[in-house]
Amino acid sequence: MCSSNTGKLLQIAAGMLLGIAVPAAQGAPLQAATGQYVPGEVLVRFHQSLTAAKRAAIVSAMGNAVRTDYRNSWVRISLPTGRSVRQAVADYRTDPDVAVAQPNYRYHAMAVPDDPYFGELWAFQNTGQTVSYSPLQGVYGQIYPTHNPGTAGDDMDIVPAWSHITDCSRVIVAVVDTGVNYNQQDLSGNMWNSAGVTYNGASLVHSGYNFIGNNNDPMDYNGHGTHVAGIIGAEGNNASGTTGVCWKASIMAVRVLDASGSGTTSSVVQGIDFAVANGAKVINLSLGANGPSDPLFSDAITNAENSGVVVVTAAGNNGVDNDSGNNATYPCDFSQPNLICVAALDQSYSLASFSDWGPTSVDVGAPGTNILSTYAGTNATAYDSNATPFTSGWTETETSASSSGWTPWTGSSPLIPPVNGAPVPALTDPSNWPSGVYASNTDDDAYQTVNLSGVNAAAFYAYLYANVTSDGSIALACSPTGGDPFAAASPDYLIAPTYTDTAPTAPSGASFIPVSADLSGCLTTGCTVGLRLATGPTQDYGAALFDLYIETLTLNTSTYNVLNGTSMATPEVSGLAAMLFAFNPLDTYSDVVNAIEQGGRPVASLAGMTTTGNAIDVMKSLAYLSPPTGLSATVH
Amino acid sequence: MTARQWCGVLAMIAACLPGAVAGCGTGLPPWHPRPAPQAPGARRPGTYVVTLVPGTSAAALASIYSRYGLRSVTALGHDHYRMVLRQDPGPEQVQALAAGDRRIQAVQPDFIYRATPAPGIRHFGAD
Repeated sequence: MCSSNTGKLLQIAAGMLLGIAVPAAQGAPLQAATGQYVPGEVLVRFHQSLTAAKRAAIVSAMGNAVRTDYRNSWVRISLPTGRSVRQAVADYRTDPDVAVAQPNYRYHAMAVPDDPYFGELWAFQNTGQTVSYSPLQGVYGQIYPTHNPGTAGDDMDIVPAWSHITDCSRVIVAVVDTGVNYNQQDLSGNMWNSAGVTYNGASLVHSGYNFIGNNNDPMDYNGHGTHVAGIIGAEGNNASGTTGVCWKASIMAVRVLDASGSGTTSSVVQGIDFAVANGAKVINLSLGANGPSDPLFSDAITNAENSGVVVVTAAGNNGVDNDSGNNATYPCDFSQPNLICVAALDQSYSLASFSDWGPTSVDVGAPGTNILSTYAGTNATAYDSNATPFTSGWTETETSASSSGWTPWTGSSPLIPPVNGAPVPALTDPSNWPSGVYASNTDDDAYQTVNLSGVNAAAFYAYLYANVTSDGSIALACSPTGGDPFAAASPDYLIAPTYTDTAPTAPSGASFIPVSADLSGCLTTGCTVGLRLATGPTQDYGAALFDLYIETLTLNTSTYNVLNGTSMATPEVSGLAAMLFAFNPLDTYSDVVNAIEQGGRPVASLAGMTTTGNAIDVMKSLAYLSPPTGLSATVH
Repeated sequence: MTARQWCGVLAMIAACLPGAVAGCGTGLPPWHPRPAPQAPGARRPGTYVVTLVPGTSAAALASIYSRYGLRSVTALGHDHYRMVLRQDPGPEQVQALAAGDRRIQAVQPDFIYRATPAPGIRHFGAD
């Protein structure tokens, strides 16, 4: 016996099959058709030369009955109980007296939500519009210029699906990320109802847990997680902001990344375990790292698999083949069957320039450029070394008179090449970096004061070349009370003292690292942020810091932002997974994974670049029926 | 120069740095991918995730790793513990000590993961 949803699914599937099968001579499928049609009825147009009596005779000979004889030889025909519409249409099409045969399609008002920014949401309805939302927030809030506008129709085909389902709230989707601003106006009504749930002795009063601060407040102090959450489930058709894939949703906020967007195996694994233990059916992981496999992380995804949970993750944004060389990116490159890895497509369904791909690791593509969604608040710049170079406001000290200490650098090197003829400001130790070596046995500090008062969060981003042997170290620290942050008995390390070389090594690409840190412990008027190069007897080539940027976040409930990335493509798929689980609660994780991956739309830019070559397609996934397995036949 | 103009400038820097997929002067838009992080397997210094044999007390960690100054041990559930050492001997040494002790099932670095918005015009913060 079919469930009601299964029946709807079959209707969608059959309607799509019929629509696709209609040859042009028989009349193309009507564009407004939703795929649903009236069971037990077909519409047939006979050739004009036939009389009404002749038409009735043909219908009767087919075992059917004329219900209505319309103008222009159109006849509405009733089928006997149990007769397949699909078969009846096929039968009539073989009759030489028939010009057109088709189902009696149902029509609905198109389910376009009334959210004011819906017109910007090309992923849901690509009309060839130009995405031009402003104001943009922060260093990541950017308009991707390629294919903006793009190609009308290159979208997720979700609008017709909304005629069938918009409410996914029976399915919990865990956003394992930087947290979620659960007060955002488009999210507050779609958060997971965690009433009565406790974790580590704390009542979960904010729809999730914070594994960075180890408390029950998973507020987002970065913006990324809130953006992801809105793509999955910003409340739709509420005349406010944007809509998510699901108009109604149940978003579980799991904070595993700090205000700079960084976390570790231990926080991420805890977050996944928490989500599984508390009933999530879909886990969104818009995060990753290039590097060796991570067994503990892999175990967590296997644990999710054993609980029937679909895990959706980002391919990565290095623009490389994850399957090649040392490019493996995790969790994308894990191989569990409940894991879907997602590449990013632009508005013409080209692979986005930043998107990673992988013929064996990346599964599908989804819209990932110029994605407008909910955001945690407003960003501001507290410090920018390119606007205020290191020559201004920095205090530097050294314990050895022979050391140059940290020195403003405006030299020229292939490692930090000039841009448009202008050198890029840097802070280096030694002063003759990259050719010189630092002094032995010295502690060289440099720090800058920044005003971080009145904001909810701040984060530090920079690029660093570091060549320090193991008898020395390099560290970053901050002090909310000002002064040299390393003068404290227990410095508040942003990056704990570490070394990079086992023997002196000249700077190269291998010593280039991006660094980021959460400054939320330093939200004062006189916060100082600094770095220390501590050296031992062995001399090495030292360090260079450049492109230092400190960004603040002030929370509010009404901000939106345009972001780009496989991070943004991932929640499009998570939302679809939630929709599929909601549409047919009996689906297993493998049903949902198959429907997403195999029920997608072939896209040229993904051919050979992913396991399926498909972009996600909501209507096709809703209609996708997994082929039966385990069947056998006996031939007599 | 405005902050957003700087953004374009810095993306060009990124495209020119060693490890970039394409070289400078290609006329590529600032959206060309920044260089891949040059520290694959980036990990939090001195921090490891240890899986103990079920039934083993976390005190076992002190007996094995106290020589490096055990700053903290935090239970993560499922017999997993986050261990922070004051002096980091490196993953190989930490794993070598674990291999000789039946109380430890596995130990690995605490790898760093990042949110994955595209860096766009400047800054990384993501892979």
